[in-house]
Amino acid sequence: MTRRAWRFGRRRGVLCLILLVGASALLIARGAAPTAWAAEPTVHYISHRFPMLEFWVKKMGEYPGIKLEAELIPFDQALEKMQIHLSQGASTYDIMATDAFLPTFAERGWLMPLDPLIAKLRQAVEWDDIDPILVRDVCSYKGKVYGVPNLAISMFFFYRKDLFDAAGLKPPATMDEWIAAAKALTMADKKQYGTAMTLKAGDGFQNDFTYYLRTYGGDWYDKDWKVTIDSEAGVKALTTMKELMKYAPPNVLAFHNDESTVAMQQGLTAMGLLWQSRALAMDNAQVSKVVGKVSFAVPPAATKGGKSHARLAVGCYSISAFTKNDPELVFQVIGKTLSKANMRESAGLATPTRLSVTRDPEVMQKFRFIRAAADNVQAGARLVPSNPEFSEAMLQTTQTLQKGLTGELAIPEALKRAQKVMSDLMTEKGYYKK
Amino acid sequence: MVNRSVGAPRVVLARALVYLALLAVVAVSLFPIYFALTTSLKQTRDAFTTPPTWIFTPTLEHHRFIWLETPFPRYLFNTLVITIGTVLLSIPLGCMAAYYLARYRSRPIQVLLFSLLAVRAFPRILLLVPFFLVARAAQLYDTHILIILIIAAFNQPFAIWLMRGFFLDVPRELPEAAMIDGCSSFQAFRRVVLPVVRPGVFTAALFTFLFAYNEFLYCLILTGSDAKPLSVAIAQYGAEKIEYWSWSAAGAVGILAPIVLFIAVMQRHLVKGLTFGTLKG
Amino acid sequence: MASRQQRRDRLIFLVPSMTVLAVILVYPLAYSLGLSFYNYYLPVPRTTFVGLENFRFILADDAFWEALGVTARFTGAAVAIEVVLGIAVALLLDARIPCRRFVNTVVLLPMAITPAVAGLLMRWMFESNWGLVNYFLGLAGVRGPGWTGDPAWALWSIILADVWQNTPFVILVVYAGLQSVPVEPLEAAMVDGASRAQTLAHVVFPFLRPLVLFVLIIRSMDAFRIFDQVFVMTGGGPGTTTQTITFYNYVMAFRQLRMGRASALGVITLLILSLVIGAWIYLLYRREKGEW
Repeated sequence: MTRRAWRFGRRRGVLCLILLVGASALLIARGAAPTAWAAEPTVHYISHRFPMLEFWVKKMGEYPGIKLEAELIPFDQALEKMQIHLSQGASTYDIMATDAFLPTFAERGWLMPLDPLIAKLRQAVEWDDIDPILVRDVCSYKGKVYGVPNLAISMFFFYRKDLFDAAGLKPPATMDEWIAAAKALTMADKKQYGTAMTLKAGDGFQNDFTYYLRTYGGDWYDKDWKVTIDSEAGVKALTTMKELMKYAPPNVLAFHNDESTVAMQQGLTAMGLLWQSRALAMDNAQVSKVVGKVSFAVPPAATKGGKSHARLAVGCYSISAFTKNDPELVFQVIGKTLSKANMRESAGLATPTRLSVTRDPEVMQKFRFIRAAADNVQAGARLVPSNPEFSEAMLQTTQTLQKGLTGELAIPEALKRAQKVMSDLMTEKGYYKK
Repeated sequence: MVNRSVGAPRVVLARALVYLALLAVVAVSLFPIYFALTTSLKQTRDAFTTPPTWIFTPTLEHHRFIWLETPFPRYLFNTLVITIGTVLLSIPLGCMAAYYLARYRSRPIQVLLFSLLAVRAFPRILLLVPFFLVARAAQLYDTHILIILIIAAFNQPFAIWLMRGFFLDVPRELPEAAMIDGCSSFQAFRRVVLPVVRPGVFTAALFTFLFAYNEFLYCLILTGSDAKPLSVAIAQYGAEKIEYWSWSAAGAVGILAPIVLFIAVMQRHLVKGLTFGTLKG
Repeated sequence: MASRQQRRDRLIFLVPSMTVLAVILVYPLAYSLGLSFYNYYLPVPRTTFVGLENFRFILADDAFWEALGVTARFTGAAVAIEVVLGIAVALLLDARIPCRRFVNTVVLLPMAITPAVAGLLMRWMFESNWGLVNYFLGLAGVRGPGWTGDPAWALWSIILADVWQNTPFVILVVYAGLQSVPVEPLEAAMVDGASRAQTLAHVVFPFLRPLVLFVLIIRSMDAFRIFDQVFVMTGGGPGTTTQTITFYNYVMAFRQLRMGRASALGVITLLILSLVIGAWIYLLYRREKGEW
């Protein structure tokens, strides 16, 4: 019995071994293949995953004569990987979506300055058509260009036109009107809540809070980098958010962008501040139950006729300072991918960054929310601060602010503590030396 | 007699309660998996609704998408290589070490056993950066062998503790008799002791298999497009688009299916193995 | 003194395994320990020696003590429920039941699921608007809480998720143990006319005791390190109500990029765990058998 069992085990072991050897052989063959032909350089790409970037990756893969290895992963994971690899000087990635981290990465010497490449390839990539304001404000650091803007999106107000019309409501112009409308459209027993909010700690909470804070006239920092959230505007922002939370789904503190979007698409919420990149999906019958019922507007201001400052985000592609590929080739891959034709094709996913496309009335016509996006920027949608301390302290800061909403801390106390978290870091990094 | 006439209805009632409790346990265990399965088969629009959609026309679109239009087959292949490699490396080493640690007793050995437990307790995320440094220096970043070595090393404490329990049950006389008959120490181990603890080896291999199959954190940072396993690939479809949720569900079903089969076939061995060893601490 | 035989055996049997461990783990562990005495900010390659400053910082840090509290509450609740429930279900399975093989398979299944995937499933189950947990509570006439979005319930959603995933491990070990309860004392008890409860209390439980202790230690250690489910389900929120030690450690290392400080936190975690587990093993095993 024992002997037989043992032999049986050995046979199984041999089988496993054969499998493994076979597997390794396959792998080695696969690994060796590119080097054997060696003609095609491999370009490594990393970014977070979202429809606009998926589209760019698809187009990038079509660039002739290269092999593209793309990693599209969630935002947190992408940031982690880039930081670990770049801090050790690894040449793992060639093209990276740096977005709001561009200045931080540039400061640390992880990005390649693009000016010489632009000078050389200005014609080839039609550089002058790319919105120079985005290049100057978002993709440059200390006078040098480190990135190519690939998309612009902002957060604006989504609302259920059918419900608003039925209740005789108009899209709110002020925060008070928003609260009133949300209250009017909340029917918790029917699982309909007035408003969606995105309040999960981290960038979700930050997006929403930034809007309220700035719209009430405050901001994260003043011009001397002093932290200024512990202010009257801060109190008003949190107070309004706490009030609105009464008319939001009960678990809204766990809502990130995706939960807010689903809530809107399932008809669970009647309005809310959402990202432009989600607008197209509202009319997609595959995922949405409210096709044709959602309209878009500029988010409410503090008072009638006031300004409203929602979040604006601009995406950038940068080239790693440690790339082992020919920088000219990599730059061409980026530039040709972001061509006019491609931007025209993808305008529904985000606002294009080429002037010839954004100014094209035909494109504006085709996607109704591009109008809202343009109005939104006009009304005062703005970028968030891009200093590294802002993102490094963000999770702790927003966790603390959340405690003001849950009632664990009084609102002024929450602001005071959040301010301290941010200030301590700024002090430590030597911002206030003089 | 009296006892029995009173007992019969009580026995029936008790039996009914036992079945009811079992049914509840089975339902609770299965429900999340059932939810993942149906979610992967629903149109995205119908997947996250209140009240839940019970009746729907199933669609294989999400499954088709992830298996045919993404490199999922390659990730599955990577997972298999990593898993099998880990078992083949970890189990022989672990068995041998456990055998030694069960045969001999001394204070240093007790200290060693305890430190092995401590290895298990160390927060693994802290080792990410040093691992990355080593991997880069050894040019092993994004290779199967790197992941296999790491998982096998982390699995050693568990494998050793588990196997040691089995070896403790083997009478000392067994290998000694074999050695008197002229076997070398290793031959005695391989020919005489190992066949006796075969169920234990099997159990340890199963746990190791699961451990490697499910490893996430190190694979996330230390693999790129070449060696990325399924567990990491599933977590890649973050949040931005709601279709991603359906894809994640389809991916979850994809990673679950082999495990369900595996457990269905192997559960007898799991129980038998553990029964045999009675897990001596 | 080790005999010649033992020394030879050590070389053959122990050394290969330990070599792998040493080569793979010792350098990173030592690196990490060393780092805990340095100020190492990941983006800047230059490090400076700061002695015990990192440890001082953490011990004075409110967030650390808060996270320790969350972790302790999580570990206590999760492990207690898992052990009690696990023993109960194992006893159920040990009764004569139909479709044993199917039931065993199903009951053990959650244990085998990738934690990151299990976290995702649980996040969906505990979603308070369309999740199934609240749907069933609604059927029973209970209005379910906001779970992961409610400070009072967020930790409970993670505890319950962990119970779902890890009770099977307890079941498996205890069930396996039940299979090997020696027959003679059971028969003796029956002859003595002991009730089922008495048999359980006096014959079965004492036999299971070492197994339960083993499970308790393994589960406590793993529960203390919980990360995946927190990461996927709540991200530590709302506020810091579900921020466990490991999650806080992650935030320090990869959000704030303070590798030195994070290493110090890791060392502190290791010390706490070693002390607790060590004391446990010492008290329970020593008294039990005189050795372990």
